[in-house]
Amino acid sequence: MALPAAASRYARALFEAAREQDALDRVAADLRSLEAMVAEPQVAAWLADPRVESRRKQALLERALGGRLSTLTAGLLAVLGRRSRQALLPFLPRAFQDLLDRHQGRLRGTVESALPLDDEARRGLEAALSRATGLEVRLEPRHVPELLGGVRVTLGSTRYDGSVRGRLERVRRRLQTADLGAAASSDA
Amino acid sequence: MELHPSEVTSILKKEIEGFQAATATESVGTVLQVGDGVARVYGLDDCMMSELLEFPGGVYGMALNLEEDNVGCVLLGDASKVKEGDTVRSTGRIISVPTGLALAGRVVNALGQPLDGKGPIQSGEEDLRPIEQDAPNVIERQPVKEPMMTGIKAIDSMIPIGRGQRELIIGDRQTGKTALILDAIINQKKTGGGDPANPDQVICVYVAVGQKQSTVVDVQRRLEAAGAMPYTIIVNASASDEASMQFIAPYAGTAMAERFRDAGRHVLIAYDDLTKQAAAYRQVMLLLRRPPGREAFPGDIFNLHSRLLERAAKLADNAHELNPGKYSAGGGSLTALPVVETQEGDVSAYIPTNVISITDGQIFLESNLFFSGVRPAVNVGISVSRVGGSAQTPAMKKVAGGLRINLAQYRELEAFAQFGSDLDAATQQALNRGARLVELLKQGQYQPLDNADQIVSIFAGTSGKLDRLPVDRIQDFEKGFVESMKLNHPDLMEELNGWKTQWSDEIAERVGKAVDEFLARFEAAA
Repeated sequence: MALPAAASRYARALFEAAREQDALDRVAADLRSLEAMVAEPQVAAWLADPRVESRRKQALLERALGGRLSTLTAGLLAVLGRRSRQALLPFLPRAFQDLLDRHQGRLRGTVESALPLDDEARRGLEAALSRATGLEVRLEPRHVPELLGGVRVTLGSTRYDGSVRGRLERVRRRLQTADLGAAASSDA
Repeated sequence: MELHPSEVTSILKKEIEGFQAATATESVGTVLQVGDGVARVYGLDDCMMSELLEFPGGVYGMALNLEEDNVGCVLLGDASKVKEGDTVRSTGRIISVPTGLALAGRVVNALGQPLDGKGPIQSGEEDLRPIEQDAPNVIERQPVKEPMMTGIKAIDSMIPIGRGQRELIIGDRQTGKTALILDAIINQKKTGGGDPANPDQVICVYVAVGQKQSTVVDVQRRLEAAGAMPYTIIVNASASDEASMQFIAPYAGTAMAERFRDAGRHVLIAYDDLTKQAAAYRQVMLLLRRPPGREAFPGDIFNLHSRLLERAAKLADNAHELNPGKYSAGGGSLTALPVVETQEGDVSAYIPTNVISITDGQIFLESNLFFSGVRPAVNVGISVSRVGGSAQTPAMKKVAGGLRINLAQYRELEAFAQFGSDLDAATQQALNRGARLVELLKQGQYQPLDNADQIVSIFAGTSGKLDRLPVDRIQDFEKGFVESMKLNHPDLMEELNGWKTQWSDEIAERVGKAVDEFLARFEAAA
């Protein structure tokens, strides 16, 4: 999903501040716990609801999270509150994670497979793709029965399709565009 | 096309054998937003400009805006099949259309798919050409030198068009713009007998942009009736097609035409009309949020037309030696007849001025003339051909030399003559001559004339031999005279049809005598 432009600005500011204070891991952990909370559609909708006053959102967030956050993350919440930008909160963990991944030379992607993939196979794929890309690849497994067989890996906007469905799809495309006359003459 | 089961089987066999082959790597993206025939796609990191993108359901799109975090593209097909969240695949190809002789006589859409129900286009992978191509460069060109005869007296005599020229046809609606193009296409039958395989035959491409479907059907019927369809390709992006199709249709038609040009053939392409193409482009660009400029057209609207019309060219005779990768023979030409529709004769609107400045001249059709019975309604005063003079046949050049001045004088004096007061003999004579010349230049639709027919009838007018004849009998005279010339002097007419024939004193005398003889008989018969 594309991010609102403002979300990437806040995420970058937070990231730079965390890097300078050597608190990247701490902030990342904060945001992960935050992500679990704001990923709830109801919470996200409430945060984006303009009828709820910014001060109320702020108070509730503080009460829910208490003193569990690091200074930087608490500061981020305060800044968002002051500017009535709480609607951006659901996007921030993801944006921050992207920046962190790039900083640490990590690449996240998904691996889709027809049958649930065991950890060993996934790690094998990760190792192979890490060698190929020169970055540390992390794959999030997904179970997609429609693939029929094989796996399909998506890294950024590149897709490595080794699934049976993908191959069938390619056969269909070839058949639709096949030059019948040429095939017959080359056979003869 | 016959389908043999064995062929299908052999393809399937190959596919199955290669089924275990390596995984495919592709660049993908996700549809963020879709509507009004455009879509925004997230991802597609290495997408190219104008790249063809594949959406689910066999719908294609073309990338037009590459932005920081998304790609804006137009959909070339049914947008209702595309949903938010769909996966988009890049194809690594630029939009290509089939080209070659298989297209002659066919009606296709902007992607080269047949619309005429005559079965698939028999062309292979190697016949595909990208719709956007570079125009021939400076050394690959030469000045126009051969005439592209339209068969219309008013044009071939005063606004001659050369092969490789770009001549704008401009006028209000219902002034005969399309009729003029049809006549020009029909007239090309004389170049090679209407056989598209004959290397002398001029191939014609008619690109209909934003036209009524009924108009296009009518055009096709007319061309078929005149035997002009076998060497003509109609590219149709009608008013009901997507704006994206309307805006790429001229490029697609040009790619088809270029195939012939690059093989040393001569091609005539008509874009009917570029005003609607510009409007379609404006629609797409506004939806993609490009900043609007004058009349809400995007900033590159001039380039949209200039890069299209630059592809019309007369190639150097040794073009194939200079660039063997692109040309298989030299000397080919692509003549472009773009059409622009004006509102109330306003040639100073944005698109008309743009296209006027790009082309090598314009033929201005005026509704006043049209309704007063002067058809074709060419306004001789402001119509020009900047380069065609060097391509006119010598005989025509000589005979038609004084025509333009005579007519200009006539138009000027006509206004004075309205006052009706005493006119001196010279003025009276100029008025007489002018009225007869105007009458002589009238011509029916779908009746393109041979070069010789035009020369002899224009000669009859400019030599002053018709000044005594009543104006309302000029057209009858012309018809009879041309008939009698063909009957009594076939050798002379044959000679005058040649491109190289000079207008010698001897020929002038023979034609002059023939005019006198026929005039005597004509007057006696009345």
